[in-house]
Amino acid sequence: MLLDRSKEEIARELAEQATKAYGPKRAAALSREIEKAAGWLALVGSQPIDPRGEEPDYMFAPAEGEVSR
Amino acid sequence: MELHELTVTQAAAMIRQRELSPVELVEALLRRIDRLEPDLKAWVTLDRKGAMAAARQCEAEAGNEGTGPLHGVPLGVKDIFNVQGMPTTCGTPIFKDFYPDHDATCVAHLRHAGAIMLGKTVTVQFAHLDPPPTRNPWHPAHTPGGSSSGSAAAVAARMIPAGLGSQTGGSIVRPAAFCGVVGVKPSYGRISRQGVFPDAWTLDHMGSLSRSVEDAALLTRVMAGHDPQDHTSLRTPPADYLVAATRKDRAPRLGLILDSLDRADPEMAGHLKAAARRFEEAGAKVREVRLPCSWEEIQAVRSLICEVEMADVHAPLLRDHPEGYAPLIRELVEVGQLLPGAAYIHAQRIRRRLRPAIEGMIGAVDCLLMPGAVGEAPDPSSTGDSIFQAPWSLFGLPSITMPSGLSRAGLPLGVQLIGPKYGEETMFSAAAWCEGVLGPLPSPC
Repeated sequence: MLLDRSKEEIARELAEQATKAYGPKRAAALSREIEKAAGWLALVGSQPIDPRGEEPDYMFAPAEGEVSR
Repeated sequence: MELHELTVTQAAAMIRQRELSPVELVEALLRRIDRLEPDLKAWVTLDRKGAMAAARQCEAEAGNEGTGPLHGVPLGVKDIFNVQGMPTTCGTPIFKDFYPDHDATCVAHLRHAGAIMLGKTVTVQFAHLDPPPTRNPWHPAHTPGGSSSGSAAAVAARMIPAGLGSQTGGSIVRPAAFCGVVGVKPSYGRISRQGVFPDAWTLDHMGSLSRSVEDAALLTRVMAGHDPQDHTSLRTPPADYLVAATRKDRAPRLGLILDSLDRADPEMAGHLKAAARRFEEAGAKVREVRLPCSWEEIQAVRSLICEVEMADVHAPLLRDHPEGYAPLIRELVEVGQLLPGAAYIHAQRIRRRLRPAIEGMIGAVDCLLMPGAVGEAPDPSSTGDSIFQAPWSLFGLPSITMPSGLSRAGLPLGVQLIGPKYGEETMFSAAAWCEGVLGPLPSPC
């Protein structure tokens, strides 16, 4: 589970995935964006949410109560 | 007053009274564009023939019963909005020959109100990250911001009285602040997204850049309204925001976000404190408030959601046309395709959880107060930091920036107000009052 790891571990995992998906040269070019994304994942992953009592939907409803679904 | 200095509401009123010819107005603006465009590079497409034909028709109908509130007023449209008869390139050669057969819903509303579409303004490619060719009218060595770069520069340079913009992170408010104009990002769902190329579905907002709060209010009123083609479009009918923007008698209650002073450039922080003092001296009640979480947390949640949604928007296009992508957005899309689905959902859950606390900040005040951007416009190698605009895109709250003075380097600084949930009426009223205290900026060129 990528969200449970440190920023450095996440960055390494994403770099490996990038190498498989795009090749080593392109993966190297993506290192700056991978670093940023790893930071976001680590920060977001550090905030577990207990689903007990949580609203029965995961999506943010920006126009809550007024969305024509 | 020279014709290019007229605001939207001024020009519309003069045309309605037959004191101003729409043909002469369009001609004056085209002359202004011809003089300044080689240096500013704010336009992708100019529809000279179409605009002149529309102006002649408006002139013939001026003063008639049933003409709209924007009758004869020329506007610029960010080049991700569909405008029938003009290409929508989104800043990429992939779409250079894409001529949509319909107007975006909000563009159709503007046309119905009598506005003339003068042309398409420069957008950062696909409205995300890569710096545009456009320059800041206050100083060519600075960015106008982005991604609504061309609209911000063209409005500041008096090429047009107003332009359309869109915001997913900070793409209306930041360029408006950098160029010294008014930029409004209404509530999520207030203005239909139909006919606008998506950036990130749950974050995209449509809005405008202009030179007065009254203009921003009028344009929002015209563009707002339920659109059955956009399922997130609000069903509640919009209020008359122009009326709200003319009620300047009641001093607002403002919540100064202290966290923004900690994060802003020192000059901007001092400038905001001085602006808050001026508001207090003029009768506003200013109290200090704190964010319920860090800027970094908000930015991480927004960026993850944005990157994953963008990855899906762009996956097939990038696969088929990699050469048509600028470097930064290409990197973003490629990395976005690697991010796990669980992370996206977790970010959306945190977004939901934070929302009541964020909305609660505005419970005891009319609007929140903070800088429009962290500081003055940086050099053109980037479009600037979105950290001060992104929260209001993430939580869908209405926000507006207005010019509040110049930095020591002579570049514009802006203050930003954030209104309550669906509270544009309150926000425009407070913004008009604040605008009256701050006074106008001169023309940059």
